[in-house]
Amino acid sequence: MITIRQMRRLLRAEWTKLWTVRRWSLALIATALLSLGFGLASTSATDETNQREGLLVGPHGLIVQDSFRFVHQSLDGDGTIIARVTSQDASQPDATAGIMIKNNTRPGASYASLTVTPGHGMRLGANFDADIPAGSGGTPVWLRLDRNGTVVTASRSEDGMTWQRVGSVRLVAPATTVQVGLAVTSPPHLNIKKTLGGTGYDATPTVGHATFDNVRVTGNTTGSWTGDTVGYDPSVKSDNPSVAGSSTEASGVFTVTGSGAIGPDEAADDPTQDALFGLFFGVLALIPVAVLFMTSEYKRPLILATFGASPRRRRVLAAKAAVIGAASFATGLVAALATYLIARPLFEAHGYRPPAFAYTSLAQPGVLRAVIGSALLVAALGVLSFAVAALVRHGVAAISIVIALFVLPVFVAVPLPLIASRWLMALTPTGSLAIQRVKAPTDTLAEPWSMLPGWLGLVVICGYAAVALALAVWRVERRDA
Amino acid sequence: MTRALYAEWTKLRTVSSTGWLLAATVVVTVAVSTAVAAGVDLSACTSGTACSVDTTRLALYGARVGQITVAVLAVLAVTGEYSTGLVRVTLAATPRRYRALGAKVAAVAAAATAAGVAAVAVSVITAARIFAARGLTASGGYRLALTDAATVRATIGTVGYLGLIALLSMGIAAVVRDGAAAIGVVMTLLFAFPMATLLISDPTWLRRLNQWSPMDAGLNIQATINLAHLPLQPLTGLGVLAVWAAGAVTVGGLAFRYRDA
Repeated sequence: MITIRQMRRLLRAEWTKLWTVRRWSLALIATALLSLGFGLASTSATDETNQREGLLVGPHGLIVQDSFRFVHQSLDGDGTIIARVTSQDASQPDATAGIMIKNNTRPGASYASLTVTPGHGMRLGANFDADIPAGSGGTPVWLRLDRNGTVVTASRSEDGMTWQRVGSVRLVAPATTVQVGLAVTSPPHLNIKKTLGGTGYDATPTVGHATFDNVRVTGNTTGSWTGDTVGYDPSVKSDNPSVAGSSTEASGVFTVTGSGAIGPDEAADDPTQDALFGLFFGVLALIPVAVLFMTSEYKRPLILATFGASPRRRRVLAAKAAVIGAASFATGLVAALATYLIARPLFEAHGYRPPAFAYTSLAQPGVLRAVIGSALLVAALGVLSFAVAALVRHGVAAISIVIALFVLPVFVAVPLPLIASRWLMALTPTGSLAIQRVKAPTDTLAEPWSMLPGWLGLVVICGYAAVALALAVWRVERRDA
Repeated sequence: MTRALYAEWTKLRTVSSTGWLLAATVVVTVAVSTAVAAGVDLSACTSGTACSVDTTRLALYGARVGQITVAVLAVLAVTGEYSTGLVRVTLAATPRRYRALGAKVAAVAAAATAAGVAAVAVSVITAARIFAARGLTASGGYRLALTDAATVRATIGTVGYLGLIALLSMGIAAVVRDGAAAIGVVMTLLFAFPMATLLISDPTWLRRLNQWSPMDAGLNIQATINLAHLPLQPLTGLGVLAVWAAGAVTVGGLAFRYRDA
């Protein structure tokens, strides 16, 4: 059994070897400085979205898209709307058909909605940023919203008798009188084109079609049912095109068509991701350190003294991996934190601020995940470099292998079709760069790793590091030093 | 000089890594070029026959990957002598240092160029078949054919590109002398510029980075269409890489001449 004291001694020995080589500590500092420098270079970009006229700003101060067909009545004070969705066309997986309470019919006004979608089940939505799963989809289904002041409670039912509560949301500053009714829409179809040097897309509108019956509003209602196509202006050319909707009612059956989308309209650009990407350069200085940390032992051959002092080779490798991993993590964390904190105000000064871009802060889980995830990816890369070096015992080969694994896929992905470059990112350590993204994954950016969910890439690079380390242990234990 | 050359050739030939690296250069270059030719989205081609996508450039895309094994070969040829102490024997046999280094540079560049010829030729021939199978024919203005002057220039130029990468790497290795550090410097020099273009959106700076970068400037030699929009004309671009390589070899030569081995 290994004692804690033995392990501590081993760790201290390896730590001493790392920091007493002056070039290595300088290279670690260079890693942080290169990351910071290149990260800050990205802040030279400017975004002019905020200068555009007619930005649609939602209740939380960010730009939104809000176009759909709304069949509505005025509701004064508290009340309830119930409707049964009897059918919905599968125009798009995220087309919506359901009921809505909205402050007024102005695009961008606060709302709460309970809708079904062909592909993503039932959704409880509010204020363009809440999109809460509310169980399975499929029609027919009964929907219900109860307004109580600012609080809207949503329920669903299979038969209109027994109701199951699915959640509640809040309207932002509603007047006493709000609009209640049926809402149908279907987002445009995106055709993403990937060419050399970039990704572009064109969008064509789609039309959602749904029928309702058993539509009842209880409470103090005024006026009759009115159909409006909210947010449709054919004179404005939009990135999110829609067409005019329609609605008819015959003996209690409502047939509604609508086109467009209700939700956030933030650009795919993610300034936090851009700033943290500087680490991609920084690691060019780190990889040689992690490799030399192993191969220089063979060169000296200090390795004979090392293995003589602690003959359990597995432990030595574990201690070295822990030390290089910790040093890489610390370097990455300092670099990522400093880059984020310095870059944020610069980006804000260059147009990356509300309503086009949300303010970010370290207190937000997504930002914290990007910063700490960046440090973890540097740590995993350090351990991977070290393990490859232990495996091949040749510095030049190890550095080339790691660079080929981590850097090359970026350039190889450029001319490949979307699906192939996504696979390339999912199968190589390069995909770990996805952890630097705060916003949701997107297919419309040139950076291919932006297509992956953040955690996936991190898991892949940790997998590479773990496998390489296991192979290295296996090899080093069986081979003469 | 013949004897020095023969000695360098023997040293290069008898190390097992040389054969592997040269073979790897051919294999990865052809593999990546083939994958790109087979996979690239040709929907930007204006008709069934004419193509606004530079198919020659795509057919030579693998050189971006193949250059890594060339650089490794070149670095090892220089730094390997220092890690084993062989350099002292070399200098005892050939005391004229410029001659010793010149012979090594010539031997390695010849090996790299030979591998480059094989890699590029197979890539172009394979890609041409793939594009033809995908419906791009010469009658439609499709350029990838060895009868087309621009394609010939791009193809021969890519071989030259790989040779110059070998020279650049050897020059850096002669200055740095440690293999791991040298390959780190070479990779950074090659990839830092194109990586920076991923970060920067300003078109003036994008152009400048392309013009200064040994890799991007040199790869302008692969362009066969829209030459007016290139940051640098093909031969000028390869010239920029040649200046980088000449600078590195000069500094490396001076270091080799005036420093203790």
